[in-house]
Amino acid sequence: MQETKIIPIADGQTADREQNTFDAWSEISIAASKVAPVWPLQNFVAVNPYFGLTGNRWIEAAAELSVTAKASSSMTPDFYKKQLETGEMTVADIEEALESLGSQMNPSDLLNALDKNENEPTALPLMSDLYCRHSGVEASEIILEQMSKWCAEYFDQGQAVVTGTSERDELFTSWLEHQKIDMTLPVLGLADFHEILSELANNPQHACKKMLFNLGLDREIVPLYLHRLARSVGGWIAYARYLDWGAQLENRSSNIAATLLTVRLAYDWYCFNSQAKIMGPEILRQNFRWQYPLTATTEPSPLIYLQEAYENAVRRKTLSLFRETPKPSHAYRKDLQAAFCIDVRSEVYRRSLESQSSGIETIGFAGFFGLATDVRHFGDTRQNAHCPVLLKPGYQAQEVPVFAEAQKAADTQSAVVANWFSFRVFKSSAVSSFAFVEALGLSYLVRTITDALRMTRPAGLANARGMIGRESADDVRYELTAADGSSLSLEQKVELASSILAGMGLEKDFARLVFLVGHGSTSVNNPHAAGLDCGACGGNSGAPNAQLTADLLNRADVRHGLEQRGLYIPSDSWFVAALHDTTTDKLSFLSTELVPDDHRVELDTARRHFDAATALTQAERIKRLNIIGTKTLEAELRARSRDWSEVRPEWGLAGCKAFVAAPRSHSSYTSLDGQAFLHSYEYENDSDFKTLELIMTAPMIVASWINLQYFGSTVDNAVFGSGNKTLHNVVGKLGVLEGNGGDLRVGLPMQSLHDGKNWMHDPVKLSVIIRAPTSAMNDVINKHGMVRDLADNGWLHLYAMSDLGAISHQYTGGGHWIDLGKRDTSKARTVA
Amino acid sequence: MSSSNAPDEDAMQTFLSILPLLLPITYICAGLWLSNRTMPNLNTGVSPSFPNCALKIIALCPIGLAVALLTAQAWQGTMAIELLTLTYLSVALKADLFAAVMTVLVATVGAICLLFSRRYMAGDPGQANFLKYMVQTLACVITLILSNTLFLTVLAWIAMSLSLHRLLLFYPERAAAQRAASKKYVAARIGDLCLLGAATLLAITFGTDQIDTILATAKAQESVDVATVFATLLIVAAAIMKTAQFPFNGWLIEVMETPTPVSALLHAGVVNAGGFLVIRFSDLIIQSSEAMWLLAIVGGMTAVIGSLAMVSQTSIKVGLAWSTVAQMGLMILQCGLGAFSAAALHIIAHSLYKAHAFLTAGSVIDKEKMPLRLADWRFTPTLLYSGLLLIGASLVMVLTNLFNLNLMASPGGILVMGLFVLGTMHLICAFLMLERINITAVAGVGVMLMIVSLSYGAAHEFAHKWLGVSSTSPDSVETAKYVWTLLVLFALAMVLVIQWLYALGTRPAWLRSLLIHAANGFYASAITDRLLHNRRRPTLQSFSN
Repeated sequence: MQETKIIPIADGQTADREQNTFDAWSEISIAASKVAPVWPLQNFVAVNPYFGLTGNRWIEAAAELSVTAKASSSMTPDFYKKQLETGEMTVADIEEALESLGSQMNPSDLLNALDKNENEPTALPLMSDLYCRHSGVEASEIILEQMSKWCAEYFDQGQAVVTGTSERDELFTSWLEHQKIDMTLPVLGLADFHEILSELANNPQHACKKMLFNLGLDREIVPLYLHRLARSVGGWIAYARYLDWGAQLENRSSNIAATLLTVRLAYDWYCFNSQAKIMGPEILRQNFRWQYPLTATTEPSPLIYLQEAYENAVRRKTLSLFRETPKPSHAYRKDLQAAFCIDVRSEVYRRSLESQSSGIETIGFAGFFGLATDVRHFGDTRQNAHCPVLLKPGYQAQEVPVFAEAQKAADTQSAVVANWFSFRVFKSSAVSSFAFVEALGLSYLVRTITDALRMTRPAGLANARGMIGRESADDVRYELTAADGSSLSLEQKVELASSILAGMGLEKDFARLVFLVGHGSTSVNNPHAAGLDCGACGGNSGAPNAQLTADLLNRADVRHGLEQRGLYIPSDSWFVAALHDTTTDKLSFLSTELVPDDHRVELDTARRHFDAATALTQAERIKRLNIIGTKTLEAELRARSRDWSEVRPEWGLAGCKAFVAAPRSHSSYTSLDGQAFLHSYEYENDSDFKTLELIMTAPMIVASWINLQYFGSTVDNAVFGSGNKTLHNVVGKLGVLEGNGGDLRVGLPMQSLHDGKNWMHDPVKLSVIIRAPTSAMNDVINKHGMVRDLADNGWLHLYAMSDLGAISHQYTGGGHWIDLGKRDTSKARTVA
Repeated sequence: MSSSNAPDEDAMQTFLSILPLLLPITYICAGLWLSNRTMPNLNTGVSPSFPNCALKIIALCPIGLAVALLTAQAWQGTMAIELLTLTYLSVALKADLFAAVMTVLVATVGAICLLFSRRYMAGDPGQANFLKYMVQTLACVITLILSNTLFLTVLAWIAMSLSLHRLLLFYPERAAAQRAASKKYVAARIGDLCLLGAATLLAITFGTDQIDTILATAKAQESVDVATVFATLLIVAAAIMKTAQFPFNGWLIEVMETPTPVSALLHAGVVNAGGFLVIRFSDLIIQSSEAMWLLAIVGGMTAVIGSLAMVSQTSIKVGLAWSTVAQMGLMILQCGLGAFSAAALHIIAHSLYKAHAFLTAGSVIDKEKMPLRLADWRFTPTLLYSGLLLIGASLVMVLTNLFNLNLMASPGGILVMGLFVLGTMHLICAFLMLERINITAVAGVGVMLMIVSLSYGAAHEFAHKWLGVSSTSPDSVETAKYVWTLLVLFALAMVLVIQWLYALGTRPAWLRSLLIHAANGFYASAITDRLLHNRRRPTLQSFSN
């Protein structure tokens, strides 16, 4: 046991002198960075909940999370038993998993171990837990509530009209001042809270040094303890991580997450000091210390082996869908091309569209079409990044109405907004709401009935934004400028156009009509609506990106510039922007009045093809959304998208399990059931493998994040998910609480994953299949740590596709690949 | 009721007299039908099924009955039916105008909540139970409204809070739900005891348990005896518990631990049962100045505290809950000032608004996508003062003349007018603070003010003349009531000023402290938790054992 000197807490000076053994602040920063960020609801995009831990093998991360976050990384025993019964998973799969993870157990031992009921993870204790055990006051829960309440006030984005704190103040100082006034903790029985708190310095870095020193923990257990501490308010730390993330994109230094963890440490430090007064600090330290393991990883729970076995089984099934296919006949000019987002929901639509005619070709590309731009909506001062959150927008797009003259529209809108604002203030302020209720409360009878009958929406359509006279999404255009608002030179535009086309792999054989299809969703009364929108557009609709890209590629001067670079777009090729509504599977064309007259016939034909594809896609949905009633399919889907009581408007990306980067002809022959991200990629045209690098560092990582978000929310919804949607309570206009209080919730709600009877998502990690030489992929893996972590540590499974389209190699980590063609013969026996 | 010997008229009379009975019976039958039933999971492929259609019938049928009741009441006058006559243990129903209006309200809010839960709760294994408890709660509320005997009133009162308790613990494993429910349980039992005590006293004093007889007798009396005063105080105490008046409001602001439709139903249909009780017994209560003072003081305090707490909440549902506390405080204050018709209006208008507000709580992010936010306030003083004074004063003039509300005639009238002036001034100020105002916007806000003024006046006029709720005659009011009314109005004006200071960026230390305490609801809930030992667990002597 390490010798620790008891320092009277008032004596900060002494403490400062004696604690130069390690850097407390960097320990805090490291612990905070183990928590994945969470984006606010307005831009609710998928984040890998294990981000920050991907440097570890997933089994090690699972073990660490089980003691720090009380998180399970596998399903319940019943789930696996059911998989065995239905034959989804076999005993051979379990044998394989045990072997690959180096366990000596045999499958029957493993299955017997399931019945012992020792699979519930238990978290390591905090000082507040010890305080509770000794004093009987539920300190951990009270601290969580108190801290969550304070965080909500500090980070509030405008829910409260008045608050006692503000994000403009320095976080730690603001917290200290607030807590010295707030009486909740003393009232609830933590009587000496204010007294002990007065010992703390205003500077978080000094404070954390002093506090960690007072606690007197062994250096070995500090990281684990701080990680555990961070997870005890994981939701708010995640939000702080998001703020730090934004600062980092702008090259500002920011340590909100670390400061917030210092705040949590201060509560724990208080519990220690308060309890130490009674039992003496040394006994308390001893009591605390012996509960922490010296080595974090323990034997994985039997469920982890089963999870591995289950994943093997599901993956085998996914991989078996791919086979060698003859190279498609020589490329010729198609009648119609359509580029879709790689989103798994596009796969169904693309398949349906392709089945309409052999002259239709579809392309898969990230739904922001390579145009990372901020979009400024008409009349709005805020801007919205329409690009993956990994990127910083390089452009700015201003929305312009075309339904009316711009100045007139602006006047009308500012009047509408001014009235709407005054009315909101009247309605929601203290005191004036009394008069509001007596004057207008009765009118809510009508409002409630029309809302219930789906005749009106509780809030106006988000994209209408108070624009009177606007009828459809088609009523606006976007003007593209550089990020600072200056106009783009022709050279810059040509450069942008050329990079977009190269990324899409669309550099020759342009059809007469090329559709650029963005996607968005429609739901009502749904705080998580942005989560159903296009993730590649930062949780927004992809329509602006599609419109901007089409406008850019239709410009004669840009085409001329491209031609000079050797990229020839025939003058009779026209790009049309379109929006795929993933809730109703309707597809609407945007800016069609710009289409040249001699393309009208093709446009009508295309409309028919798209309508037919919509009908097919909707029909395929019956499998997942069980349609009730006598209404037609279309009417039912429409109703769902407008129902204020609907908690499952669509299944989003549930079921996603594969990412394929290959020519479409190597996946178009089979139904991937809306479970695969499809990126078009032909390495033959990618001479320096720049596009491959882009694919593996951006779309592949995004797909893996989405997949792991669904994975985490499924295996442990309490930790990585946001719980029951019917209890959701939007806090600070930025996130949800489940019920009254508690931590800020991250991840997906249960209702997005489970239909009340069955899981709609299979919790398996992503299989990435890329048709490219393994050496080229190794180069990318070696160059990018983020990719290496995911591939080497089992967060995704990487496969190479042969030139003919069969799955040929499996990546086993460290740059090694095994040839599946050779292995299959020896394995076939075992599996059978 | 007109008397006639024609046989078909007799049959009609019989039908009309059983009409009030049909409503509670419908709900009770629906509750029984839902027992031990599983709702088909709407998400897992079932064809149009009987239980789902039946739910629509369960929800909509009572609206039809309630509307029929209201029509019949308007046409034939008050209907009454006696089912069981025992000394002090009678069961009788009576539908006067206010009761009939309330049944329409409760049936409508109930239907909206039930139909909302059809999809909202789909797939939850407890959906049928959830609906059952909701229907049971509705049955109790409807019975309470229609009850004409003390016995039945007490019964419905207690049953209502018991079925509500099961809704609050719909997810019993949630610790916060247990805490809220325990606070509710204690408050409700105190309320039950008060009402039981009041009923017993009244029954003994008046020698009957028929409510209309008691009220008629009380109205005719010159003065009231001590027992009656005590009984009225107990009724008021029960109402205070039920309407979550400060400091007994802890449970109401913490019931977000149960699905949204429960919050909607609770805030719109159940919490105001206390107000209904006070209005029902208003003829008796106005005779006791002590009871009226208790209402006025507790209500006034709650309105002020609730207002301040409401605007400092950071989550939508808790903010709405505090808003209910403030609104209920105002309603109780109106009762205490004798403005029972205004209180009745407040109950109805607030119910409709709050049900909608809770059910659409998920739309807050959609609303946030509008281009302007509440934070964008600017100060333009000259416009502010001139606009404020001119428009405010002219509105009061217009309104007073239009609706003849007798501005200075009663404290209740002063409160009603005062709130109107404060509210519209706030609206005008908010508007004048905007940076860019064009003529269209001015016209728009003018129309808005006109609509607000007219509907405010019309609503009060409607409540005063047509709701069948009497208010006190002005001559029976003490001067102190005027003082208290002005004090409360002053405090409310100060709350407005605080919002102004804050919006303009003036945030002195005292204001910050005040807001921190306000956000905590002045610790009423925390103190209750402490008293109920809600935050304690058994300790371990030594955890190493």
